[in-house]
Amino acid sequence: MRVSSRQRQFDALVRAHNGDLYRYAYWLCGDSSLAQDLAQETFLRAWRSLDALRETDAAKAWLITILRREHARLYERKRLETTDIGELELDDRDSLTPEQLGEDSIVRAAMLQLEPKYREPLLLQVLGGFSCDEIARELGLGAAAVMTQLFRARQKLKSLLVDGRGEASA
Amino acid sequence: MNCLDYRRELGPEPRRESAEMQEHRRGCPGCAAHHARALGFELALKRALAVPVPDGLAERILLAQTTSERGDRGRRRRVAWFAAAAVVLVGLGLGVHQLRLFSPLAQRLIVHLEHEPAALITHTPLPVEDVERRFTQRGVRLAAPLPAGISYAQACPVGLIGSVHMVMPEREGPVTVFFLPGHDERRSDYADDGMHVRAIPMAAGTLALVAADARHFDTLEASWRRTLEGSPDTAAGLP
Repeated sequence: MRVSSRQRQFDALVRAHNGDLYRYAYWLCGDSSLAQDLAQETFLRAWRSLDALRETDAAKAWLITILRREHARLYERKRLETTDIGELELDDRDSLTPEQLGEDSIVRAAMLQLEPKYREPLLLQVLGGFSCDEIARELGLGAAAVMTQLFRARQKLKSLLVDGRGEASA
Repeated sequence: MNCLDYRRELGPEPRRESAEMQEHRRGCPGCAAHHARALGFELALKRALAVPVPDGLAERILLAQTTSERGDRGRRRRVAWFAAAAVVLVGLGLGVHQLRLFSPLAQRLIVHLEHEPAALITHTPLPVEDVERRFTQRGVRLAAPLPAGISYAQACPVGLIGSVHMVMPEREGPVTVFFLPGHDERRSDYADDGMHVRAIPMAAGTLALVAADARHFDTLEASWRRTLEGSPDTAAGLP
């Protein structure tokens, strides 16, 4: 069967970005199966408007914009519950010490407690690798507002981590 | 740059340092330690956010896409077939019903009149040159001057046949005159729903007269034969 160049481009797009998209979706909704659905729906929409993608470098930002819209639509339909720490999946990373794995769990739980307005710019920066200006464009905010949110996001996260570690050691 | 400035700028983007920030850090052990702690936190954060991606996610997405695409393609193909069939049906409908391509000439002429009602409104004679130009457009050379009083003249097709379509106002109502060059039609008289049509073979074509009142047909036929063929002696097919 002959594969079109459009199909090849889409295959490459999925293989290059499905992990980032899934992770981003996961941290938006806090649910693995929902995150998979969101990632899939995002790519299906991307396929339908693939001709709009002109530059390879812009692919990730383009996909994240679609994903955020999909997530917003989902929120219009139902309010999502925050996932409990016990439901979080941990990857099989043998190289990590039990302490590191425990630390990851605490950070993940703290992330899910972070308000969306702080969590989202932080995700775009840490997972997406976007600059403040790029995040500002994506979120429709000013660069100064984004910098303030990123600063506060880390402060709040550190504060939650101190509380989490306190509870873990208690 | 002082320590406060350094930490304020590092806060939102711990992985990015300007040249000025780097210079400050190298000379300030406190900010160097702060920077190291910030990077340690970033590392832990990035590791924690990198939740494992479910196995086979990319394959499932591609499967969903190809399945959906095949369905869409099938739907598009069906829609295209329906559209093509609709176009053919509409075309046939137009051809048969509107243009009456396969109906007798007399019926086609009456239908044509219905499509150009404006032709019958004016009674002012057109300049002779305007009418002659329509004949020239159809490649017809007139043998004698045109009958007087033609109020409308267009080179328009009747179905698939080219014609010069004219109107001659008469006291009893307008008479529409068609000359169809190159069209071979037997002499005939036809009446339907209050309209009379006479088709006459003339000058290597057909002259057709259409009116509600047929009393001027003989006179008009004679005058058009003079115009198109010249001498009345050469006339053929007179009643």
